[in-house]
Amino acid sequence: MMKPNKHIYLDHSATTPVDAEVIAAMSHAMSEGWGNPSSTHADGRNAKFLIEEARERVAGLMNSSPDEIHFTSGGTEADNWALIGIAHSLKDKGNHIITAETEHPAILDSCKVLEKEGFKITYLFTDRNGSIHPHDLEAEITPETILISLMHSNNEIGTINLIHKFAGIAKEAGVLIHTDIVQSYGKVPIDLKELDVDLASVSSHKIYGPKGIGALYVRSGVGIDQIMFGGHQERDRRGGTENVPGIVGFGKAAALRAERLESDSLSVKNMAKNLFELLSEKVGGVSLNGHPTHRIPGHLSLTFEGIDGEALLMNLDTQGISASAGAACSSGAVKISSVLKAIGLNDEEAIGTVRITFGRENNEEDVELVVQAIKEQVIRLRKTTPQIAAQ
Amino acid sequence: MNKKVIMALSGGVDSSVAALILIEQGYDVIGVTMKNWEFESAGGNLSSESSCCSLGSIENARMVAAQLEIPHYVFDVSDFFHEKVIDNFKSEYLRGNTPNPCVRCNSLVRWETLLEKAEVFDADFVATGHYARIHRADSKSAAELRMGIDSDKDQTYALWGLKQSELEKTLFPLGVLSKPEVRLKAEQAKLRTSKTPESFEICFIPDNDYRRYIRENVEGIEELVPDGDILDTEGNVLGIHQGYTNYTIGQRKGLGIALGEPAYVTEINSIDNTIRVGSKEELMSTEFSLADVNIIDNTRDGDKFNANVKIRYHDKGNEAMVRKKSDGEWSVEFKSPVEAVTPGQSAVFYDSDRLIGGGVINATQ
Repeated sequence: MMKPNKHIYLDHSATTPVDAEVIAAMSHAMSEGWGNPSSTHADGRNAKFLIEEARERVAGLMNSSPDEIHFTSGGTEADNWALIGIAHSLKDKGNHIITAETEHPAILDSCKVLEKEGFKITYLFTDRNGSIHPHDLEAEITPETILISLMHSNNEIGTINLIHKFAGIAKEAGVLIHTDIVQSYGKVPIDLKELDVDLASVSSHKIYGPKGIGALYVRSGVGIDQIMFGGHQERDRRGGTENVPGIVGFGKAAALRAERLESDSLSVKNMAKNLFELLSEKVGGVSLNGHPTHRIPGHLSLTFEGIDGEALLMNLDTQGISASAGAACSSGAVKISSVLKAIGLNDEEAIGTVRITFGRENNEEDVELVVQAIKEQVIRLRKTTPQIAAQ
Repeated sequence: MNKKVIMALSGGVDSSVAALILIEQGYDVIGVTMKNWEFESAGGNLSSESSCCSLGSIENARMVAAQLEIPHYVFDVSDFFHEKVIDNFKSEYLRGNTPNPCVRCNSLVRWETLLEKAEVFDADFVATGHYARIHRADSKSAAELRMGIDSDKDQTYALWGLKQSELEKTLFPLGVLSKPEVRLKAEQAKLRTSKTPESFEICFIPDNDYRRYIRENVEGIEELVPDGDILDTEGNVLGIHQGYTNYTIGQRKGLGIALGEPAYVTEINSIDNTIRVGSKEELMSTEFSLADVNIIDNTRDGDKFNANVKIRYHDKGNEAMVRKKSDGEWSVEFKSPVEAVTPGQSAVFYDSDRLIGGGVINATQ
C-alpha cells in the first residue's frame, strides 16, 4: 500500500490541527461545564464562567473588549451576519455597500442575497498583487453608502490589505467598515483599536482550535440586526444555546496564540521563504502570487509554469503531502479561482497555481522533503502533460 | 514498487469491490470519480441514489475510498460528457433512432479520461467495475475482451468501442466473479456501499424516463417533433402519434390504435414524421447495415466472418455473417430473422465468450 513514510500538512489556511491543550480544555468543558449558560443555578454558572473566560481570551488576541465579541458558528456566519445585519439595520439610511471581487464567498454570496433585496453593491478591483488602493475606495463612496467590507488578508494569495487606511476613509465619510480577519487573526498582531474598524470576523479552526465556532466583533455602540433568532444569548443579539466546548476551545486556542504568535510567525515565515528560494533554484519556472512583502506569514501562492497544479497536488497527496489549489472545494471538483483571475493570471497560470501554507508543527526537514517531492513531480509533469490548458 | 492503478469508483457496490480486490492483489490504487453531468439539471424524480454520478454517489465513492484508505479524486468532465454523449443522445432521438449513451461514454469519455489520469499519476493500469475479462495468451499477444463469468451480468455489450491500446492498460477485477459473490465480498468487508441498489438506467436520466428527459431538455421539442401519422405497412393512416421521439422499435403498448392483431412499431421515420406499425412478422428482419464499426480482435483476417451477434443489452445473440462493405460500412446478415432491429443501438459480434467488435445499427431507409 501507499503508506507514506511521513505525513506533511501544508494547508494551514484551510484549517489547522487542533492543539492538544485545546482538546484538553474542551474535554474539561464537556465534563465540568455541561450546564446551560443561561440557567441561574450552579451548573449554569459554571458554564457561563467558562464561556466568559473564553470571550476575554478571544477579545484579548485582537485588543478588543469582551462585550464586543459575539460567538457564532464560524467565520462564515460572522461574515453573513456583518453584511446582512448591518444592511438591514441601516436600510433607511442608504442602500449601497462596497466590497471587493477578491473577498471570501461568505461575503460575496451574502452580497448576492442583499442585491436581490435591492441593495447596490460595488466590487472593487485589486492590482496584480491583490492590493486595494485607498483612493479606489474613496472614489466609490456615495451618500447612499452604509457599509464597507474588505478583508484583512486574502486566503488564496496571502496579501494583507491596508485596513487602517480604509477605516480612516470610512470614518471620514461616516460609513461603517467591516473586515474579515479570519486569515490574519492569530498569525499577525491585530489591534482593533488601532485598525479602527466597526466589525470584524474571526474563526477558531484557523488557529489550532475546533471547527464550528467563530466570532463577530461589533464595536460597542454599533447597532446590528439579528439573523439568528430565539433567545437572549450573546447580549440579545444571537439566539441559541452557546456551543460551550467550542467556545472554550476557541478561547484556549486564542490564549495559546497570544503566547506563541511572535515565535511561530517568525519560523513559518522563514520556512516559506526557504521553500520559495529552494524551488526557484532547484525547480525553476515558479513565481509567487500576491504581495511580495505585505503577506500572511507562512503563506505561499505559487504558479508553476507548464503544469497542472491539480495534478501536482494529487501526486503530492499520494506521497503524504497535503497542500491545496486556490481554495478548498467542497465536492472535490476544481474550478479556476476567481481570485487568481482577479489578480490578472490567465487560465494557464491559474491552473498551474498551488497554495502552500505552513503551520507551527512544520520544520525545516519538511521543507527539504517537500522541495524534493515537488521537484520530481514538476519535472515529470512538465514532460507528460504539455496540453493541460485544454481541460 | 507496486504497480499503480487508476480505479474508476462510481459509488456503487461493483466498483467498490473491484477496488478492494485490486488492493488485495497488491496494487497501489487511486480512486477517481467522474462527474459527468450536473445533477441539478437532470430533472425528474431524483430520490433514487442508485444512479452513478449523482451527488450522493460521488459522496459514496469518497466514503468508500476513505474506508479502503486509498486516495480519491473527483474530476468534472461534464462539458466533455455533454458534448460527446448527451448532445448525441438528443440528436439521435431527433433522427428517430434509439441511442446507447453508455457505449459512447465508454468509447469517447471514460477510458480517455482514465488514461489521461493514469498519465498524470504515472500509473500502470486503469480499472473499472465492469463484469468483463481481459485475456492475454502471452505477454506479446493482443489483449482479448471476453465476457464476464456471470453471463447474466456480463457488460461487454457496452465495451465494444474500446481500442486495443486501451484494453492493454485495463483491468476488470470483477470479470471472474458473479454478482452474488461481489455482494457477499462487499458485506464481508463491511463496505459502506454493500447495499447500494442495482442501477440499470442511463446515469443522466435517474428516473429512467427518457421521454420526459427529451421533452424537458430539447429546446423547441414541440416544433421539432410535432404530432404525425401512424401508418400501416401499406401506408394507410391508422391514427395520430404524439411526436416520434416518444416511440421505440418493437413498442406495442400506448399506440392508441386498435388492429385485429397485436401491432408493433416497426419503423420511425423522422423525415416524413411518421411511425409505421405492423404485425409481429413485420417486426422481424434478417439484415441491416452498421456504422462506426470497431474491431477489437484484429487477428481475424478478411472482411467477412461468422459471429454470434447481439443487438441489445440483454440479448443472447444470434448467428450471423458479418461483412465489411466499405471502409465505414459493414453489414450483418442473420441466419434466421430476428425481432426489432433498432437503429442507434449497438450490434456486437462474439465468438463464444470473446468479443470481436461492434458497430451502430443504421436506419433501414
